[in-house]
Amino acid sequence: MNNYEQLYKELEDIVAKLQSEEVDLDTSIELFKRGVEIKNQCLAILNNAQEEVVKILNDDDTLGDFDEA
Amino acid sequence: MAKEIVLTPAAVNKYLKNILEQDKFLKYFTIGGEISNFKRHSSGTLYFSIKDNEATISCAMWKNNADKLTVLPKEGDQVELKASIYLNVKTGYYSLNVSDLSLAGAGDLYKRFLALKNDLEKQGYFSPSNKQAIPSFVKRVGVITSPTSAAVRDIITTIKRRYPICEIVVIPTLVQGVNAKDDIAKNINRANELGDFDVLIVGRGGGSIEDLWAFNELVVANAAFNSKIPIISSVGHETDTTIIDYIADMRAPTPTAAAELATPDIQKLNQDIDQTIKNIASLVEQKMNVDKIKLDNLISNQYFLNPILKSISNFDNLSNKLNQQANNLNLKLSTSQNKLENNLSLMTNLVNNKINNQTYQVKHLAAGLDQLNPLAILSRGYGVVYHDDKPLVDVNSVDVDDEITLRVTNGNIKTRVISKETNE
Repeated sequence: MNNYEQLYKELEDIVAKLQSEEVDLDTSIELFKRGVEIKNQCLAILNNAQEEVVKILNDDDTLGDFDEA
Repeated sequence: MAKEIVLTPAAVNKYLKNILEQDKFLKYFTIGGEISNFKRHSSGTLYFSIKDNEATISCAMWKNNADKLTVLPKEGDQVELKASIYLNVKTGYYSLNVSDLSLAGAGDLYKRFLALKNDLEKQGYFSPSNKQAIPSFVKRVGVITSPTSAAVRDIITTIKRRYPICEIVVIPTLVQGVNAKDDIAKNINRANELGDFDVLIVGRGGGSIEDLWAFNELVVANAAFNSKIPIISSVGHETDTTIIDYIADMRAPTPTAAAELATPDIQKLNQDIDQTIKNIASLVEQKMNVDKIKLDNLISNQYFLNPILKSISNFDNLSNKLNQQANNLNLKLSTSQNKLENNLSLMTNLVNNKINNQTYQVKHLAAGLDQLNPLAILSRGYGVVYHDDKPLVDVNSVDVDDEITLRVTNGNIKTRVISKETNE
């Protein structure tokens, strides 16, 4: 599971918790704060996405940079 | 007479070779017929004959041309060859030097395609229950295709645009030519052995049915079927369907579509996250509203508005409590009293019963005694006779003129004995 996926799942969990009746107001506000944190982390992951994501598999099973030109 | 020219066999063959090879009709021509004696030499050269009902010609197809073929002919196939004449000077035999070979008409290929398709279908290769799900969030995509193709560029561009946080690994693969089927199969297996791929995109751009043929081969079908990594196939254009398209876990009409099926759209994900945050905010707000209403209710309570009321109410409460306690106490007392009374009455009854019982017994005894009471006998008219204050029971104990006393029920009578006689 990658980081983005984990964060996304956590966000879904937060919604599920808030939809249940048992969460009190203080906890709700904490959950909301965590939700905003997650959103910012997701955005950070996107903004920092590397350009060199494309690799080529060499004959000896090592990875090299893929020449897209 | 001029001296007759004597030719050597070599000279004749060379001459013929020259004529044949220079002939403009024989330099490059198309010939159609049936394949026989097909052999593939280890060097990669194909040797076979092309024949019709009347004649046979030997053919050779050198490795450089043979490697371009995706579909190898087999015995009895109707083919068309692009060829030129070649004459072997040593033997004088001539053959065809084949530069290209195609199966005559798509009919034969289609028959092969259908035969393999039906066979694999019967074996369950296309069964939906064998399909694997494509993960929602892929980390690493393997792309099995030619590294120089437009297809690979389309896939890379699309994935970078949609989901730039995943890694793309291009696995350079021959997708056309006689070696393509083995290379495709090998690389599907290789990706599985290496592991760490969430999905494989296997395919190539458009081309003729022969160009796409490697994707109709059994070895590719087996590799795709046995792959533990989900496969998205994209072979040729939307109208081309190859065997691997039936086996793949998903089939994409184009390389771009394959990339779209493999990855989520991060822009959409971010919109979803935005929306989710809004939902969370609204849920929290709802909770706050509920709490606020509770608070309002509390604050608007009369005791908050007028503290004296609360004191009065407290006093009332206290006096109510006292009353209540008093009542409780009374209740307890009266209960005790009742109990006591009940016990007393019970005791009285018991005692009375006993007394009654004793009285009865006394009366009973008294009645018995009455029957023995001499006074009671006297009352029935009997009398007791005393002489010298002793009861007189023997007639011989008195004499005539003796004073005797008669005792009756209510008094004594003094009398004298007038006469006496003894009973017999």
